[in-house]
Amino acid sequence: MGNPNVGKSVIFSRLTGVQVIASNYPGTTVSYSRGFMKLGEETAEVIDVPGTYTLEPTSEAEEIASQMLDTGDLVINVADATNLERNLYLTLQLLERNIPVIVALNIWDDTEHRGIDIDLDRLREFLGVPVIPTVAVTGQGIKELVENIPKAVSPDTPTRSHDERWAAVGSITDQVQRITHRHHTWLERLGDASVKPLTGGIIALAVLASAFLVIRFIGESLIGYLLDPLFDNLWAPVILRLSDLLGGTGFFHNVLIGKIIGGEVNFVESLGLLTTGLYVPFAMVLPYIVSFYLVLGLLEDIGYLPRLAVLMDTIMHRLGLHGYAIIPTMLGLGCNVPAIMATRILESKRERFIAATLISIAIPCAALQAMIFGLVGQHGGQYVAIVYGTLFIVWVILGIILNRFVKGFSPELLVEIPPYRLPPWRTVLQKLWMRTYGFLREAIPIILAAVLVINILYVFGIFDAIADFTAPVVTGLLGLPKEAVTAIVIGFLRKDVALGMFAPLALSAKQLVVGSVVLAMFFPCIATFVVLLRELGVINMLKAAGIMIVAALLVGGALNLIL
Amino acid sequence: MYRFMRRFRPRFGPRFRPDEKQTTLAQMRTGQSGVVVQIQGGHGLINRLSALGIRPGQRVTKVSSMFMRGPVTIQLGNAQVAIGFGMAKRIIVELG
Repeated sequence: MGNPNVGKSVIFSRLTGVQVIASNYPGTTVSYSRGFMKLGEETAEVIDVPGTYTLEPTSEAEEIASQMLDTGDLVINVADATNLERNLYLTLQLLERNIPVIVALNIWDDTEHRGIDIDLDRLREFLGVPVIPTVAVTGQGIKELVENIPKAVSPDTPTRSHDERWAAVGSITDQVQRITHRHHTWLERLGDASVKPLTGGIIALAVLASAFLVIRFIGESLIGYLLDPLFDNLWAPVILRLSDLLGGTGFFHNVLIGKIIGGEVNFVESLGLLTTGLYVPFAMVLPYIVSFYLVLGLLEDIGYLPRLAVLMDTIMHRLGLHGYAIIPTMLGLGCNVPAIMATRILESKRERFIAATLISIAIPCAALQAMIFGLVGQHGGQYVAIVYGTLFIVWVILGIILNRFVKGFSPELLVEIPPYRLPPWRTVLQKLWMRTYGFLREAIPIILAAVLVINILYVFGIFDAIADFTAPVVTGLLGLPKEAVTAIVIGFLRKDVALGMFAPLALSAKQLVVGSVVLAMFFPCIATFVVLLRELGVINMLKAAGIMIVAALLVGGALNLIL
Repeated sequence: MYRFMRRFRPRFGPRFRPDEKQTTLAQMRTGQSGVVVQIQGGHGLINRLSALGIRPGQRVTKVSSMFMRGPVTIQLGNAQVAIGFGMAKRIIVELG
């Protein structure tokens, strides 16, 4: 346990070998993870707890933290050596409880160049528990930490009042810590500049623009130079041979390979498990997942996101949120599931409802965005811009409406801004791998299932029945061919596959724009649906879903009229 | 929102009137530093702020403030904290 953003998750990773997402901003960990470590002959369970400043919780994540305390046999209190005073407050609270404590004084490597000198022996004396200096990102001190775990004790500490505890903290820090003056580093200057109105705005624009360009460059390069050639030159001949072997027609042929038109494989339109089912996730979506999460990981580990929150605070207040809600929103551009989980860092129920609803309506995930670039982009960049522009306007207007009508209150921003840090490559790459692997593991089965479902529904003619039934809305209101409803139905499974289903329909650019926007807004995919249900509860989930359907039809209809 | 803010204004005592040396975190100029002397608010606010180390006796330096009543960023010790404008207005600082 420990304050937010002191490196608890990294220490947890080091102790158990379990990989967890760690970043340089408070509130990365919103639920607890479990793992096991060897302690001599025994195996001990280790729990990674969300950060908290105090045992009197002020947000849901902090509440989880203080509940977890009662279930443990021993606390490893991770403290930030560069902020000793504030971190010791929680340490003293922990010492007052009847539970053995060991302190890991993390970020120890930073103390020296910050001009901080801590007398460890005196600190141990004052606290009465082992204090081990550690540098979690490099692994320094972890071995000593493990060796000293058996020495953790629960010293006899009187229960103090709030003020008495702060007084005790003050007297301890005065006696063990010496601070010498030093000059500002360039990282600190840059950090200060990023939260000032003028320079901050310029930096934000530069950061976001270069993030976008880098993501596109890496994604397109991977597709153009690696994955497309692989599929066209190596996989296509295999498919054609297989198609001959299966006789070119029949149910199995259709399910596995789909339609072969003119002796060539069209990986997007054929809708077979081995063609579209593999091409969409690997050659269209995966490259953008990799490039997006690489850039996001860098921004997270440098510590930029909380500064963006400060800059966006005033705007976000109009949407009934405060600046910190920009962090779940940015995560949502990758995948809505972790984004909605991350809304736990917001304090009030109202904010969480607004943030989760806005994310699931107006923030397209990386998989859907990759398909938008792939398909809508063929007609020209301006159409992609219309899709994004529309979603952005929806995000703003819907936020303003929700802010007016949702009851409750939204508190103000109050957040620690971490120092800029040079991102440790190991953690950036490890995080990229975890997220990419997570995509492959969770998305590919659903994508294959979606392709299978499409084939089965076609065979039984169910799609035609649905298409006839919904034709008035789909054709009349949205101006799409009635078959387009199949994509909206499949959108409940996976939105990337669903958008791919527009490809064989030979839609005009305008129809593709309407289709993409409606698909993005209409209803969350099944994974997002489940997490919304869990985080919001049934009633609020139904409210959110209702808002989505109404908004999607309104906006889709409006676009159809305007364009 | 306005109604909400009114509800949380301290009910007793005069509204804060700055003398020469005292001001609020919101009114302080960027780069100025001072010592927190008082937080005008209920227990909830005082607890949230003090958990982050913002409590009477603490020396703070203002790093920046956003226009249009945006958040105020302050430096305390080695940490930086961003505080919403409404809260910053209720943190009284003695300059110097």
